[in-house]
Amino acid sequence: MGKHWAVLLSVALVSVLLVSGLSRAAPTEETVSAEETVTAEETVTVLSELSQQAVSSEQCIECHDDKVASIQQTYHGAVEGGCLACHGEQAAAHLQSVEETGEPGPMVSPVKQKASEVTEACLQCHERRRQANFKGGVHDRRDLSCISCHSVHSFQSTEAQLKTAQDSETCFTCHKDIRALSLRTSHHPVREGKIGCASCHDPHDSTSPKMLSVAWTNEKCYECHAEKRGPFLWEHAPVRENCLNCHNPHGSNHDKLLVMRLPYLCQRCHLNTRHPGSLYDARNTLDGTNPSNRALEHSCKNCHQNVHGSNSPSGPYLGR
Amino acid sequence: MKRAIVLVVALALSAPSLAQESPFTEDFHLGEITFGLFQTDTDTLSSKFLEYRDIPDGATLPFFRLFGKKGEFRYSLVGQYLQQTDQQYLYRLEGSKIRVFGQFNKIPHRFGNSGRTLNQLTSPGVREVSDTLQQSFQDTIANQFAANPLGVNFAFLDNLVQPSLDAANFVDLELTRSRNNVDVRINPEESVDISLAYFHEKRFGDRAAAGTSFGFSNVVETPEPVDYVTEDIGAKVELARDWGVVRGSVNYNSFEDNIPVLIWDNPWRAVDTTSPTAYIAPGSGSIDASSRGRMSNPPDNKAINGTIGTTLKLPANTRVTANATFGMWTQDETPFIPHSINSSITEPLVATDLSALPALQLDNGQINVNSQSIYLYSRPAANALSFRASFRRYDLDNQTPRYEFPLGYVRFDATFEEIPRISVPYAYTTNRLDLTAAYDFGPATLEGGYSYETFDRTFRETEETTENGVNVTAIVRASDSVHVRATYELASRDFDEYEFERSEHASYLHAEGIALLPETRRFDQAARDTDRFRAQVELTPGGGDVMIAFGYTLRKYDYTETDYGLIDWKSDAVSVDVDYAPAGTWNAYGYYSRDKISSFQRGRQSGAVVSTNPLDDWTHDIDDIADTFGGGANVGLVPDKADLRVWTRYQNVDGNDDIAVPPGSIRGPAVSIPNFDDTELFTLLGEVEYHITTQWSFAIGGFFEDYNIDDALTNGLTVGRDDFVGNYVPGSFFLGADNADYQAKVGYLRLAYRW
Repeated sequence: MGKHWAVLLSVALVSVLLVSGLSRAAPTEETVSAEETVTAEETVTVLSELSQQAVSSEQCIECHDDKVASIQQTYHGAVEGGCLACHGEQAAAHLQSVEETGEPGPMVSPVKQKASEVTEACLQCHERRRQANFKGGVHDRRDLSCISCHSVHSFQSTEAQLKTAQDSETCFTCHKDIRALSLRTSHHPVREGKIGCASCHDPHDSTSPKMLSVAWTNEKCYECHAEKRGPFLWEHAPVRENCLNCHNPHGSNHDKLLVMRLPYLCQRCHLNTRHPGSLYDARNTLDGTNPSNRALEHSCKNCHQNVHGSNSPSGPYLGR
Repeated sequence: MKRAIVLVVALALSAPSLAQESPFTEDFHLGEITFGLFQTDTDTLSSKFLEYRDIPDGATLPFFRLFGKKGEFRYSLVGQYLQQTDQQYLYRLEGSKIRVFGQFNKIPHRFGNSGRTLNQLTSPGVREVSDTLQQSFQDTIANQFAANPLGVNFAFLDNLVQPSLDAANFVDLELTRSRNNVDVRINPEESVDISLAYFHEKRFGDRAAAGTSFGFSNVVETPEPVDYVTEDIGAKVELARDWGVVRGSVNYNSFEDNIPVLIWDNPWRAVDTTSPTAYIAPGSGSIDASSRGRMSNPPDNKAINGTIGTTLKLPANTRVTANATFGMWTQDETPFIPHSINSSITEPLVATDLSALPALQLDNGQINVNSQSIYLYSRPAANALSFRASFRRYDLDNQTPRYEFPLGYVRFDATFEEIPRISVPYAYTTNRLDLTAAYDFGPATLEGGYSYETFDRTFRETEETTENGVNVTAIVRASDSVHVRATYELASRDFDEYEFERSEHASYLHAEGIALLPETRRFDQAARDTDRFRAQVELTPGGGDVMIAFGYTLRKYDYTETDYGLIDWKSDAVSVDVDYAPAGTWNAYGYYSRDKISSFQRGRQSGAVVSTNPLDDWTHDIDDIADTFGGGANVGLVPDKADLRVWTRYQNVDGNDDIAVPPGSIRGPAVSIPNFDDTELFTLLGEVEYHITTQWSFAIGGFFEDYNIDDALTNGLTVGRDDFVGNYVPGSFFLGADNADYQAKVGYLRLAYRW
């Protein structure tokens, strides 16, 4: 056992004791409230100072300090018109009621609004750049609004104000089949957080199939795999046309994100004489009666290495 | 990276002088830093555990964040996994007229640990076996061949090489991407965006170069050196007005391979000779071969792309978007290597002589790409009826000249094949039209659509394929707590003609007998019927505390006119998710999904000529079924003081390949493969976080992860495993790098300070 384990276990033990002790000696409701009151007062003081310029927000802070606290840290906190900029006339009536009767007027949360109404509100400012083509896109047409994925007040991501820490978690809310694929053994580093769905897709764009943020699939792949762009002396036609002929970028149980294991993937096209069209089965494994390097390990690629294209004069079969 | 951080800090400090005024809120400066102590135990050397990540033992700095506002400038600096091989930093500085965003991201990719090879890296791109060893092997084999050629068999070769392999070098196959990108956006006025972007990536390391072969009976798997630099410089301008947006951009991208050639030694040969074919050596038929191999690594290339476009906001809630892109990809600087490194090949040409080539590099290797798209969307005043139409055209015009090799080429550095060849610059054009109309009834929206796609290809079996499709979608909002979305799509693809020999003819200077089974239909061009269905039902009973979602996805391709090749393919997935988040201090969630991918393909085994005997047929009926579970809970143990977080996920994938031949076939009986890329992944994480004060907190946690793979075609090839048979197997040296099973236990302590 490493020395760090000893430290960790010691700390774990102390933590358990501490937490259990805290549980037993949990402060009474009164004491908790007192602590919270102090914190809340401090918070409100700070927020009041922060919001001096956001005129309309001042009144909102009195009841919605937590909502305003988070928004002050973003550009939304600086939007002209403050809370009213997004919450519109309802908020005005809401506030007016407070002033006139002391009670807030009715207010419909954006969460309860129709998706198109929410989108319309956001696009007042955001209908440009990547969001210029949101209207009519598949996400718009499937009843999703901006706040289906983003949160103005309580976002979890460090970029793009998403409701989850990673963009893939947001996408998996609907795309469950892709969530399952992302756990396959051969995968892009999405679950590790090194790239995300938005690395390839633009969820706001309505103009390209599958919302890819390029004109054609391969151009997206070349962004990270520029060595495969070529042109090459010897080319492989389906590779030149579409990487998705052979790969599933969302995940696969076959090496290199392939849609099928070699040699069977290659045999979907290359039913030639001699070894390409041969039958390969369990007899050709190391446990079988006739182990064959046409089937084992990298199979066809054991010899045909440069399947993406070769620049070698002796590479017509992509073997050099 | 340091320079980038210094730049951001300097800009942040200089913000007051840059700021025109402070129209927003007061300044604030907040931050968070987390210290960590990690301990990891793994039971194997598998690279899979750390495939794309790093979990070091000992003290770490997992996270820090500085963000705030000074004057009109907001800044943010976020660091993750400092000093680790997967470290990442993001920085941002934003004002009303300028925004700087940057990122440094290291992405490790570990392919396998402790692979074993006889060769050593002696200079960049050159891996050599000791000359003494090569000579010894050559002599021993030659003696055996002289005495009894039949004695040069696997057992003999295995016995010969095993002691050397046992003492051979270990090599980890891994590379790292180090990415830097900076994006500067300038807004001289609110409606004008000018963006300048720079991206730089260095990829460095090794991966398995599977195809470093000296023939079909002498594969020598060798680490492939990777030393790539990719750079991208881009500029983009966008002008936004009440009537819409116009934009334009230009990008320059370059890829540079610092090791354009790989040279590796043949363990069996010290002296170059030629083998009559590339099939039999070393064996009873021949012991001749090249002493070294040489192959081209990816050549340098460049791309210039430009885009112009506009989105017009028209009356009646109508938008029209038009885009045009132009690109030019070139590859014409990397010198060709000679036909072969084998000095003994001198007929019909001197294979090592560059002057024997038709060119010294790809002269004017160039691909022009251009695309145009126009998109119309309208939801007129009533807001109930909407239309959508889009047309896209993408054209890839491969201008690369065709090169003739009238004498032939060298196969695997072993033998000159007098088969004249000519290179083929494949090209294509695709057009796609989509029309959609939808009507919103209030509680439901119905949508219908039509699509038409053409694909024109050069040098391939078909000249044009066309696909017609229709689709219908329903969105039902039965109540606030029931939401249903469902889409069904039906499409049919056909071709103008299918000439199976066209592709082969295109790459041979003299058309000879066609080696391809004539009935083969290549799946990317074959006639195909497509069915797609996707449905999602979301239920939120109980005022929103509970959310239950059911999902089903189907994709099905029937290759209706294919007798040989891929006959059908199907993927369907069903899922259920439950979230429970009662008001209070805890929430829980869980999900399950089952997805099944299945395919059926048929082939025919031939000898030297194409078989016409149906008894030579074989079929593969392949499926993999993945069961995925996940769940977790967040519990407030002590309000505002202590939280518990647990989550788990489990996936089991069962792959099967049912292989069959016709009754009476001499190829049979076929033996199916039940362990066809079977995998199992289980992760369980638990963490307790204690908030000491509003500023300090610490967390103690850990996770357990268990990964297993059972793959018939790689089992026995992993160094150090119980079933490992050795690095030399019939016809091949394999590295045997370990990326297989592991069990890992990780414990950690995190201490966080926020201000």
